[in-house]
Amino acid sequence: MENTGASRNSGQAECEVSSSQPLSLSIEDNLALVQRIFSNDGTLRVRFIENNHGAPLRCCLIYVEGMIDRTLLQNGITKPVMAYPFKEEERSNPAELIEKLRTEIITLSDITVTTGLDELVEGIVGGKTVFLLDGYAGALSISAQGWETRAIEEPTTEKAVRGPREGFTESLLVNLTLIRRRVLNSDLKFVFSDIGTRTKTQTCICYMESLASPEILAELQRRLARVEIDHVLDTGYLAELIRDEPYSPFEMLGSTERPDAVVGKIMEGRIALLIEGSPFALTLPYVFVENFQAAEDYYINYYFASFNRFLRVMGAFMSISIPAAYVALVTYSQEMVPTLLLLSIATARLSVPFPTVVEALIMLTIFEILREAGARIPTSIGQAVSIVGALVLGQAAVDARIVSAPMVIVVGLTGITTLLNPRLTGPMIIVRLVLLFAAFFLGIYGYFFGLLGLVIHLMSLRSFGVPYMLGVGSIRPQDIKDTAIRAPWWDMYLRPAVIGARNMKRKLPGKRAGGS
Amino acid sequence: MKEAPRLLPLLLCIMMLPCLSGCWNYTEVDDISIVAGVAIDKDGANEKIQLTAEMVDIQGGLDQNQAGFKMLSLTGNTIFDIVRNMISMTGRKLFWSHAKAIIFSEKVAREGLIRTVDWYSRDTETRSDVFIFVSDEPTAREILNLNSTTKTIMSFELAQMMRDEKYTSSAPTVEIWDFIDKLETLGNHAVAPLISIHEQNGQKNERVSGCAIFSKDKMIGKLNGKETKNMLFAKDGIKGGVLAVNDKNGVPTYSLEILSSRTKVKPKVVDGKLLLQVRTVTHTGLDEVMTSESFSGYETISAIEERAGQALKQEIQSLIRKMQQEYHADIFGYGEIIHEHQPKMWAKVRDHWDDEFAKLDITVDSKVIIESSAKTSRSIKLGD
Repeated sequence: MENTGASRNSGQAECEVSSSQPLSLSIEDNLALVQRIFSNDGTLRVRFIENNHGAPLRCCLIYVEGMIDRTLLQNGITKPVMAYPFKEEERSNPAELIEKLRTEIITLSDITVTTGLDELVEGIVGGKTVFLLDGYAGALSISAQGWETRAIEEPTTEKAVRGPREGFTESLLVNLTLIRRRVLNSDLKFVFSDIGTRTKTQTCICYMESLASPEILAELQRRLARVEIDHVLDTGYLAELIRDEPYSPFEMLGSTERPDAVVGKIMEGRIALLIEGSPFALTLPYVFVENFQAAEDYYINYYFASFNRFLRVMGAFMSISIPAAYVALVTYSQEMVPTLLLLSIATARLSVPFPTVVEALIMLTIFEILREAGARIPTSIGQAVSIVGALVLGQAAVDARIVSAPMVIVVGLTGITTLLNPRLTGPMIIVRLVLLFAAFFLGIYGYFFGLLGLVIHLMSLRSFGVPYMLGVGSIRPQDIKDTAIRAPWWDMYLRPAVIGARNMKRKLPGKRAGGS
Repeated sequence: MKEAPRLLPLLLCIMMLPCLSGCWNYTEVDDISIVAGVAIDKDGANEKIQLTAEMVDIQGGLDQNQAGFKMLSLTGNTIFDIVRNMISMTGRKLFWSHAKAIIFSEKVAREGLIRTVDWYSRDTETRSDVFIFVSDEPTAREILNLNSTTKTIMSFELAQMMRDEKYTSSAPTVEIWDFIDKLETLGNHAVAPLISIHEQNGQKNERVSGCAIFSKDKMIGKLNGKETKNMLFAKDGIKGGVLAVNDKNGVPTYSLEILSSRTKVKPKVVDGKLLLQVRTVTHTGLDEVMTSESFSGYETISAIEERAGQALKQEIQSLIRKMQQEYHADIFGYGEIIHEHQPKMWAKVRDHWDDEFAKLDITVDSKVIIESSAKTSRSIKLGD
């Protein structure tokens, strides 16, 4: 964290004080330096402490209000320093005195001696308390951080009926604790760095040393080092900056709010990336089937979990296909529609003024508007959206013959099936529109042409060197154990291919602890 | 420029792909007129073809539970000419993929069907799985016109009827591809179901029963419903139906429901002469006993089986005789079977097969097996 390179600190060059300036012996001079750096910062606090029990001692504490725990500060620094009876000979040798303060008097842990001004400033903004001693050209940087954090709550985006209910918070350290508590093994590594030339956001790479692929780890670190951005507020920034295939609509890094999901991925040989201030952890490499996986799948009965997976895969397919297939059938291949169905569609479409494809576009757009409106409004007026959506736009539009009833069903099905895969919502909107236009221009042929293009695109993707469609289309049981189905745990004895290649064996094959 | 030769074939392939997708065109579904079925008549006055199309009418819209119908009739010299001229009456292009029935008048059938069937099987917009009928009434269009009394789309009803035909076996189900296939093969004669109007208590209904027999493409005769069933027995076309069996006094008493039936035809050459053995094995269930006597005591199951087999054998035999003597028409497809099993013999007879068929020695053997007696093993007994 300390040696982030001179270029990173260029932001501070605007201050008149050179960052490499050494501290002086005078406490007033040092204080003046610090105060000049923190001019116009109302949160900086300076507290002088005097001890006159033995030889008189003057020192001061500098910290940023709100970043420290006052009780800790009082009991750990202020009180013992004030009460300690210093002797004359101790007072005369500041270096020894500092050592004594560090080891015997101040009760807090994590104390470092700093001599450079920039280190000192960095400590203060990082929430540390800086202890200046009169007559010593240095300072103690003491950890007494404490700030308000959100409590650990159930993650709202990934709810599970069964399984752990803890979710990540915005505090990096809390998040790391949540991971660490699940893996009591020194093999779990946390590597810190900071990103953002101005915000210096703390990031942490988290992996199992014996499982993660060193090549992927090195590639991740190389990409993180190349990131040039002044601020990072969420892992979403990083996901976009370090991902492969920047123009593909599909996610190339996984993101989750659940510590148990992160640990699961780490145990497969994946690497997690967390940052301060974001409750979402990134996991990589990411493959296509992970879009269909939910943490709960691994905790419930595997038949049921496999059924749910199947529903999600089918839902994704339906969600991109239904409008396109409907348009292709109704405007080109009427002979493929069962007679009675065709009659009822024709009856419903009668006196609808728009072509089928325009109808589809109108309704799909309305659905997306409702979705976007519903996503950000307070829950108390959420009902209004559903009433407007269902009654006004659905029922009334059909009654007024502006859209046909089958189209409402088509769009409704599309919308519902989209909700099955929250991770794929974004890409599916794009794919759906592309397929819809292909079907409009070329009918069934165009629809299949579009699907073919989609498959080709997916097949060409790579995430950190791992094929995006890993396991899809394979016939080896251990490759498909965790794709469209979720095999029972006693049968998942290998880690995923390529990703877990460093240490494939998860357990002994076929070994069940229970009775046969 | 070095890339060009490699990319060119790829580009050509992509450009050719759209041509491979067959026949399609952009049309909104409410801009087409869906044809449900057609009737083809001879216009009495000028010997022109009269085509009557039953069309689905969607104008009723959502307020009606059922789609209505619309009739359209036009005369012309060729079928396609009429079909295209109809656009001037509907304002929309006719859509043929959902047509279910095509009905010919007897007059058209007797003059030869190739003239009228050709367009339907040749055109790309029509389907070859449409059901074919011959009208037993003076015209074909009056069958379709029945829809004004039944208030339903007649062609769809006829198609539904043909799908349920397996429960009665009183008419063959013939799709147009099948009909044309029979016309084209030697040693086989085409048949088509007969359709008539059944009137009782002032209520008119369509009724499919019996079949028309064709020689080449010309209709030469008719069979009634019962004969049709025997014909289906003789050519292994039975899928279901009922066998009524008399009791020992000659009173119709038992109904046997046909569960499955197989007919094996074996051609044999004995002393240079062709012999044909037809064996039918029918599995049935006893479904009706019109007597209060306990049938198991009254008559044994095997006796019923025996009598049913005998009756069936006689009926099949008499039908075959009729076909041999009256029509000289092999509607059973025996010629094809001989072709398959006795190719050398077939080579000798193929050129004058109809005459050979009339002289052919055919023996019939029928076996009826009763497998169960439905829900009860006894008759209804009268209480004292």
